[in-house]
Amino acid sequence: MGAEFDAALEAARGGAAEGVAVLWRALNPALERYLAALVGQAAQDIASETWLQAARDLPSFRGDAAGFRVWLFRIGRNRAIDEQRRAGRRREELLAEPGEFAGAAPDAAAVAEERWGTDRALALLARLPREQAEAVLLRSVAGLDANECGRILGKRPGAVRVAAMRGLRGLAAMLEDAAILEEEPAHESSSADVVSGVFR
Amino acid sequence: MRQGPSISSRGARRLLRGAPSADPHEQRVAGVLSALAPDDASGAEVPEVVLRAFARNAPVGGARRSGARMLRVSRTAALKAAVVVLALSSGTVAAAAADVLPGPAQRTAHSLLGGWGVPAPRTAAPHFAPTSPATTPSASAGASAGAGAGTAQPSASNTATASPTMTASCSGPNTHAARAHCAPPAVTSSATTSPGPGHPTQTAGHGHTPKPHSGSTH
Repeated sequence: MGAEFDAALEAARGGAAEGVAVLWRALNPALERYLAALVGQAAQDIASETWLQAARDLPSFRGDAAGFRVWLFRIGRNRAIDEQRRAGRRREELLAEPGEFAGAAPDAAAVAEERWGTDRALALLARLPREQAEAVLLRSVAGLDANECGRILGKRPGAVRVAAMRGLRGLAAMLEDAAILEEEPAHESSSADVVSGVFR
Repeated sequence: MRQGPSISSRGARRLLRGAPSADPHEQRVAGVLSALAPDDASGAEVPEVVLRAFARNAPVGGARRSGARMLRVSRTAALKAAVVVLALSSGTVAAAAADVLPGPAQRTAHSLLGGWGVPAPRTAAPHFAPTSPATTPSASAGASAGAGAGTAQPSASNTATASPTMTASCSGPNTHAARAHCAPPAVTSSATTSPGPGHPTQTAGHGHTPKPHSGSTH
C-alpha cells in the first residue's frame, strides 16, 4: 500500500467514487476470500456489510491506507463472528464431506501442477485449527505481515508466525497423506475406510 | 492426521511470499495457496450501495469546512460557559454582600472580599447568650430605671436591657465576641423580669410593681 492508496483513502474520506473504487478493487477480493473461510457462502454479504460499516465509521478512522486495510479486515472478522453467532453455525458445517476431497486426491506431482479449485482449497484449509487457518489466510492471501495479522486477530506477532507455520505444516501433512493414499494398491473398500479416517 | 513432512521456517516464509520452491512438499502447499489467491478485481464494478454509503458519510464541504464548523461550535460553547460562570459568580458575590450565605461560605467570601465590604458571617447568638450575673445587674439597673418612669412592664424591661456599655460594644467592629454579647432580647428579658425573692430592684419601685410580685412586696 503506497501513496496511491493513501490518496485513494483521502478521496474516499471525501466521498469520491474514484477513491472508493481503488480501495474496493484492491481489498475486496482478499476480504471475500478471507471471509469465505470463516462464513462460507455468506462471505459476499458479510463483505458488503463490512464496507458499509467502514463507510459509516470512516470519519472516526485515523491512519493511512495500510492501517485502513487492517481496520477493514478487523471489521470483516468481527462481522463474520457476529454472523456465526447469529446463525448458530458450527465450524464443522463449513468442512467438505470427508470423502469429497480425499477421493479426488491426486498424486504428489499432480498436486504440484494442478490448479486447485478455490472451494477445495478452502475445504482443506478449514480442516486446520481456526487460528492457524486465519493466520495462513491473512498472511498468504491478504498479504499482511505478522504485526498486521496480530492486530486483526488480537495476538502477538510471534504467535501469528507460529500459527502460520503450524498451519502450513498441517497443510503439507494432509497433502502428503493424500499422496500416500493415492500411491497405495487399489483396494477400494479398505482405501475408502482409511481416507474417511484421515480426513474426518 | 499423522505428522507429515516438516516445512522449515525458511520454506514457510517462501510459501507465504509466494516464492517458487523445489521441495515437493512445499510445492503441494503452494498449489493450495495459489488456489486461495484472490481473483483479479481490476475491472470489477463497485456496488452502488457502497459508493452511496461513502458519499453519504463524507463530511459536508470537506474536512477544512468541517474544522471551521467545529471551531465555531466550540466558540459558541465557550461563550455560553462564560455567561453561566459570570452569572453564578456575580450571584454569589451579591449573596455574600447581603450576608445570606451559609456560615463557612460567608466566612470564605469575607476572607476573600472583605476589603470590598463583604461582611463576616453572623453567628447564631442563642448558644452564646450571656446568662452570667455579670450582665444581669446592669440590665436590671436599666430595668429599675425604667420602672422609675412607670414602665415596669416585662416589655419595658426588655427594651431597657441594652445598657450603654453593651450598646457600645455591639456597635463596635464586627467581631465574634462583640456579636456574642448582643444577646437576643427574649433571653435577657426573662432574666431581668423573673420574679425572685430578695430581688432588690423590683421592690424599689413606687408601688407600681406588677401583680406577680405583689405577694412578695406586701
